[in-house]
Amino acid sequence: MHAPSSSRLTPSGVLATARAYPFSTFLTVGLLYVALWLTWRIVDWAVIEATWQAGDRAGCNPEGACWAFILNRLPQFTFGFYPEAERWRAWIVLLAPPALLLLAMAPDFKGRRWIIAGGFIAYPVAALALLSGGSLGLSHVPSDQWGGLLLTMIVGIGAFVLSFPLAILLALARLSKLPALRWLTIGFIDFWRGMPLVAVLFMSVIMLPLFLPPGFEISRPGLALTGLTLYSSAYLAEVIRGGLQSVGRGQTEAALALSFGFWRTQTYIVMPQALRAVLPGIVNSVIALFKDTTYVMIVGLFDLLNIVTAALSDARWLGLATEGYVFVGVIYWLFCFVLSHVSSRLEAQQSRVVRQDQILTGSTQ
Amino acid sequence: MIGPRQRRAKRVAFIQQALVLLAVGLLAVLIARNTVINLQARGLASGFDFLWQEAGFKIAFALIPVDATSTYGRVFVAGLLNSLLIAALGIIAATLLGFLLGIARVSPSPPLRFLTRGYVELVRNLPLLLHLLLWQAVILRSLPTVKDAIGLGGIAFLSNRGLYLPMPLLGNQANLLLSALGAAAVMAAIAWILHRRARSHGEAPPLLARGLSAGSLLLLVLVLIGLDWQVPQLSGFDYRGGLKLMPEFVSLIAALTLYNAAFIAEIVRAGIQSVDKGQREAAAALGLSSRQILRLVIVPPALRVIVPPIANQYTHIIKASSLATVVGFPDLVNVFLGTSLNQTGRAVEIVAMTAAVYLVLCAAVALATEAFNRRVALVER
Amino acid sequence: MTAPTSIKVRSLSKWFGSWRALQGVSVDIEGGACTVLCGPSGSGKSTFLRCLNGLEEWQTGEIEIGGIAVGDQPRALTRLRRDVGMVFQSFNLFPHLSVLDNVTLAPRRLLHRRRKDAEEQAMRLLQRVGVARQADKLPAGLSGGQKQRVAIARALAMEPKVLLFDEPTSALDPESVKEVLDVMIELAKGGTTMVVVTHEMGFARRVASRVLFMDKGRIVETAEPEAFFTCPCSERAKSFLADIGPP
Repeated sequence: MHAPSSSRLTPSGVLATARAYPFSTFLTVGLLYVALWLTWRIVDWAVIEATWQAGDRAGCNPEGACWAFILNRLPQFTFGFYPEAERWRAWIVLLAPPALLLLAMAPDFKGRRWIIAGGFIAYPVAALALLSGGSLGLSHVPSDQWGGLLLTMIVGIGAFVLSFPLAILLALARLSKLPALRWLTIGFIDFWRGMPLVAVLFMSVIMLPLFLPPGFEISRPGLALTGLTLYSSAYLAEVIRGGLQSVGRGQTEAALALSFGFWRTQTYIVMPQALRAVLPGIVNSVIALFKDTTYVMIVGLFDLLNIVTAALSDARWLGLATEGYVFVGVIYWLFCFVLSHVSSRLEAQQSRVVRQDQILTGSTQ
Repeated sequence: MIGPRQRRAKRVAFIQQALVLLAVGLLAVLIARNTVINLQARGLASGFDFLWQEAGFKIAFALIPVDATSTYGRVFVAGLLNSLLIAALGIIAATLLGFLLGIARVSPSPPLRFLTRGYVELVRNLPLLLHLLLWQAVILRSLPTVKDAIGLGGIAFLSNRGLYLPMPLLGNQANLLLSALGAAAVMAAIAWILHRRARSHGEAPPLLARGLSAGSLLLLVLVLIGLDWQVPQLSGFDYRGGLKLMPEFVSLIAALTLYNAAFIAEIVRAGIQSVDKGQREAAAALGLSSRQILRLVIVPPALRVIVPPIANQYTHIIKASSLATVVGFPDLVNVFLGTSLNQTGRAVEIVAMTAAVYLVLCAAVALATEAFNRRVALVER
Repeated sequence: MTAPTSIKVRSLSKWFGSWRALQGVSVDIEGGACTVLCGPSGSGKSTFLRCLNGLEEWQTGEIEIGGIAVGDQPRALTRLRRDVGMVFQSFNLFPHLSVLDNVTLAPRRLLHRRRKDAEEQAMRLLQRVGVARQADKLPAGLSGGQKQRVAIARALAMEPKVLLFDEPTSALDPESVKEVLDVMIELAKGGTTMVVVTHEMGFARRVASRVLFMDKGRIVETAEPEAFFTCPCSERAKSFLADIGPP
């Protein structure tokens, strides 16, 4: 099968091309038809025949989607069993990351460094304090009432924020000159990378309580978060290691010659370059991590996916699995799609910068 | 040559490493102590003797005979085999679909490119678990009941209770079957060696090699036909006989295949696009046919790019096979890390065994990839 | 003003595996003057230079800079490097920082200068080496000669007592070579102790107070530049000068 090249296409027109490549044309028309048909079916189901307001399943048009189910349950899907009067706290926690991110992306914003530091240190602590309450006049909300999108965000952001610093330390230790440290780290990283996340979560719920001193307890979300953190830190560490190895030896030598010590060399010279070099890889790890948060249903947590799954067995709304999963799918898909585009744009940008650099140095030598 | 500075540096490095090992050792001792105390407080026994004790629960699907009187050891093996079966089927199906999609991604037909790109973008940006639950919901809901099962050529049936396939009866034929399979394998191996030797000398493979490979194929076909196939038969409320695949199993394989095929498609696309256009044109200028170009010019370098990330994806499939637990299919994690652990309370032993299985499987994939890379590196030189 | 910093090297030997790169080098390098180190490639001159600030490990022998031994204890070594600036053949500018930040990074992070003070000093230095107009650019946007001058400014920002140059002009086109050499000539007049590994014999002849000629890991000849270039004593130096052409 060969492409009709444009030089052949222009003089004789579409019909002639169709005559010259009958199979290819047939395939094209067929596929176009399939695509159109699919689009029509989806639009028909999701929009035209859909029901938006109803008290139960019986009130929905069976020919179309029953979005009334989703709309009815939306507060629960978003916050789980978080008490209604306290939901403003959850709103703050949910909206803070996008707001911080937008601020950090604003051009020429001087406080970017502070936002990144705040996002990694202050936000998790503040969010946890705000959500669980028990101090500052806020009533205590036990963590088994957290759920839905809120829990997904807590687990996802929590695991990333905790695993990132751990991954940096692991990557440095992985490249250490001390064989004992290096081999221990390799063992640690390969262990977590070789384990299925399902088993990791099982293990963290079964084994972690055994490892802790007697009388010391962590809540179930805490256990799951620990497992997910260790798991994703191993993957992130390998990504960051690639970045560290991409920074030339000349950079370290120049820093040493300026009398930077090891940690300052890493902080000011090597890490900024390494992380920038593997930013696409880091974003891809975030996507994977976000998708992996769904696994917490295995240890009985009600994240977005699990709370929707649970709602499917509501007697008033039976048989609406498609609607429920499409709703969850749209949320995950939007997040992952946007991030993967960010990642591929970063990659394209980087290869362009590298090319420019080569042209410039090439022209001056 | 080692001078005084190196000696000092070595001493320092030794002390630093000793400190690292000491810290890790202390942590390990602390954890071990806590574990022992906690296990005693909960009244849990330890040791591997439970492997020879009766498990007392049934497994819905197993490749070896398992019943309520089987030992935990047998349950472990059955779970492991189920995990391997899921992984193997998932890998094969995802690879086939992935290559098809990957080639379609770079096809000259714009609608085909557009559709496959849409598929890839849609599928890989959704969590695998969502795929699985969606598939399970779809399969359970849209398939007919046993009574109205869809017949596939009268020998296989599909209903909302599962997929029923014919299965050979292994009774007194087992030995015959095994020896026939062994003979076929030996013949194929000899044929392969002869073939390779001839190729490395630049000669056509000898007639014997062709004869042997044809013979082994013939033997295989004979064995397949000669077997005593048992076709599932409707009796009462369910089909009897043959092989029954649970709907959980079918939806698991479907989810694993469709999800991972999207990733494999992207890997394949990147591999094909990594082959320089100039090389293709140079080969065409040499007068090679388009099939020869594909076989000699595009595939070898593309494979070099494709294999390492695909091996990574295989590791992912092996690990993701444990999602069987979520839909209730009895894989290793489900029957061993789940039910067996609940019943025996031997947390340390069972977790260690399960971890060891997955680590060994991942290490095997890594070693195979390494071997491939080494071979490719040799060819390049 | 304090006395200029001199360098004392005693029987310095270095092995790379079984190959001996430096064979017991002993030399006194005068403080406040410019010493040029030359010799054929592979003669060990760069290795020797990199030993001076401890970037390269060595096996036996001692080095003292301004009376302080170049030790192997990391903290002491880091402290000593504060007084020893270095300029590399491949510039090694920090690509993620602007020219100005390249120069201010070390004073701000290591000497804890305030940003404003550090930037004022940096602008003065950039003015001095003639790249002040490029202060806000990233290194990738600079020509080779500009990069090397920024690298010199970066080294100067720590106000070092000794400056080491490792073939600073080898990666440059002829036009840029002159820009960089002019800056170095200017510096040499200022009275910093300079040790320069270079093939620029014109520079050596004009600026150096002494020339050290190295071959096969040894210092074969130590001479005033005039004497070295008009009548080198050793056969090896003669053939080297003949190969490289008259300065």
